[in-house]
Amino acid sequence: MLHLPTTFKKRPTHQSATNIATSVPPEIWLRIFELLSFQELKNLTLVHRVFAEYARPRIWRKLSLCTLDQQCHGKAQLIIRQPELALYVEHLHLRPGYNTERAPTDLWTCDPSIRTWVDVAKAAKWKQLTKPWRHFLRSRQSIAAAVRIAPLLTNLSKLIITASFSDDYQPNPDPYHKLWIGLKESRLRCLEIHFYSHSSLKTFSSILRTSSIVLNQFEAFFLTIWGLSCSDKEIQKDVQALADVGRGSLRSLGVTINTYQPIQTALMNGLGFFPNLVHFNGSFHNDHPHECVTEFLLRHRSTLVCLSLEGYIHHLLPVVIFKSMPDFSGPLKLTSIRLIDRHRGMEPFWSIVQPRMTAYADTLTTLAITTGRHNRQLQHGFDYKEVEEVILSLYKPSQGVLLRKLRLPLEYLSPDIINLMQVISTILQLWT
Amino acid sequence: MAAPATQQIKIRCNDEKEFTVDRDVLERSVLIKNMLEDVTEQQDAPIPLPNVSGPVMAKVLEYCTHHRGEPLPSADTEQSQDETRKRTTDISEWDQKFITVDQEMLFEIILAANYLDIKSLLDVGCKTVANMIKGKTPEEIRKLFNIVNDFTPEEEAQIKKENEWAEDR
Repeated sequence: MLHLPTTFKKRPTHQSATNIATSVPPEIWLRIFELLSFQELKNLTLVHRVFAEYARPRIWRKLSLCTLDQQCHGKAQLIIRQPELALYVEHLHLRPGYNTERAPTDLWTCDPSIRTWVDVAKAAKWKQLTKPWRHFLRSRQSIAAAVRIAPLLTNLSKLIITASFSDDYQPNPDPYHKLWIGLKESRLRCLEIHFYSHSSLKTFSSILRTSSIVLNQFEAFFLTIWGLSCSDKEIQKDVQALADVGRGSLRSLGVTINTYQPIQTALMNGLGFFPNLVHFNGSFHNDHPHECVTEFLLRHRSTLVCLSLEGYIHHLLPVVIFKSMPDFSGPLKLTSIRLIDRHRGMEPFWSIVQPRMTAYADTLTTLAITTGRHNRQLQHGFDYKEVEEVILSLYKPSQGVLLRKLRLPLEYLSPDIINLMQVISTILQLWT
Repeated sequence: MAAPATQQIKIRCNDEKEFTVDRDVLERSVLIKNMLEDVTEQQDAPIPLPNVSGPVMAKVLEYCTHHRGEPLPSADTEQSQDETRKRTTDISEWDQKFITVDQEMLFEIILAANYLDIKSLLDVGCKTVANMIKGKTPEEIRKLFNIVNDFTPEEEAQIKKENEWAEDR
């Protein structure tokens, strides 16, 4: 049920008999509004109170509280004043810190009486603060704002935390504990965390270990770990806390790791086993972790149906892992394969994908291979006729058309095949 | 061997206007399809459609006749259909010409498509209205749909303030 602020309801509505806003049922307007952009929805809120009622939930579906956002406090105030806005919020993006948030020393050194952030705020007017200090204080504001509104966010389903505290700064875990407690009554099912330092990982791991949220309620978990500078021993227990997220309930796991080899291995091994995992999206910046990723996939071969592997710069992790697919005996029935490496041509991918096509022909609905398509040198020497033959075999009507999404470098395929793919995709679009 | 004759079905609109239509054309409507499946014996009495007028039904039948034979969406593919629908407001050339009608008729077609459960026609109608709204200011949208502004200046200011703090990210 949608609610307008009570202040709006005091005034009677001016509805004429032919008012299209009120005579057309809400489900139709909502269907139309789904097709419009954020800005167009904002415009619609100012047209008529009925349109405002339909558009506001879409506008407030995502809420961002960012270190650099000067309006964190204002947003929190607005939501506390109009709690119905909080009911619309489904995604909360919290960005509590970023790389330049190093402990600034200018105020500490010039005034020894300043010991806490509150002292800083009291000591200087905002305009007199240096840029790093402002970032610091806004960082406090963003997490403080989140803590204040958390109990109101009962429909929240996704929490994104982008934490980029520098390694020489230890964030205070207390507000995060409070945030967790506040979100206890929410519908939180998806957690997306991006760490850009070990101190970030350490802080959140300690919060997770002592969390009041039942971690096995999570169905989706996306984790980015970038540039950690710590030993693999240090990281073991932090990773263990992350591995408990979604234990038993997790269906979708995304991992982006760009750090040195022992930590990658520790992370992948630490993630352990999720009995209901159907979707895995792995993105790695080198091919060192291929063994533990393969191990991870083997552990999940009875449930996994969607696999996306991404490799970066001169590494072939997707290819290496895909090569070991014949070892994946058992019911690994993939419906979706996405392989990405913009620094490669088609050849290394195709040489491993093509022989596997038969195995997945009766389940595959999505095949996407992203290569360095604009680099003709990378594509040199590869015969796309082989790809065309496979496309034709996959689209044989007698086998049923399963493949619904196909992303390949179209510029290298013959016009006949592209036409065929377009006709089929049109039919499938009409059909699906 | 001669092809089997297509079954003809009679329908009656709310203005008593009757149509006799091929069954496969009518079955573009999930509502009518289900009604026909529920009736085991052949009936001569027309199917009453109390929510659709004759002129609107004529337009709906024009659409259904043009798109007869195209596969109907199945339940398990509706989600991906919705995803596709959200991404684009493109309308095919024929559909665009078909839906070039006055605003009253446009909404009547949308309401009929909703009632008769013809998803593709409902999409064409909704996309057309969405395209009409795109790029217009609140005042222009009011003018377009002949809507009276029912906000007080204070309320309008409050929503504007609210909108400033809402972000699409």
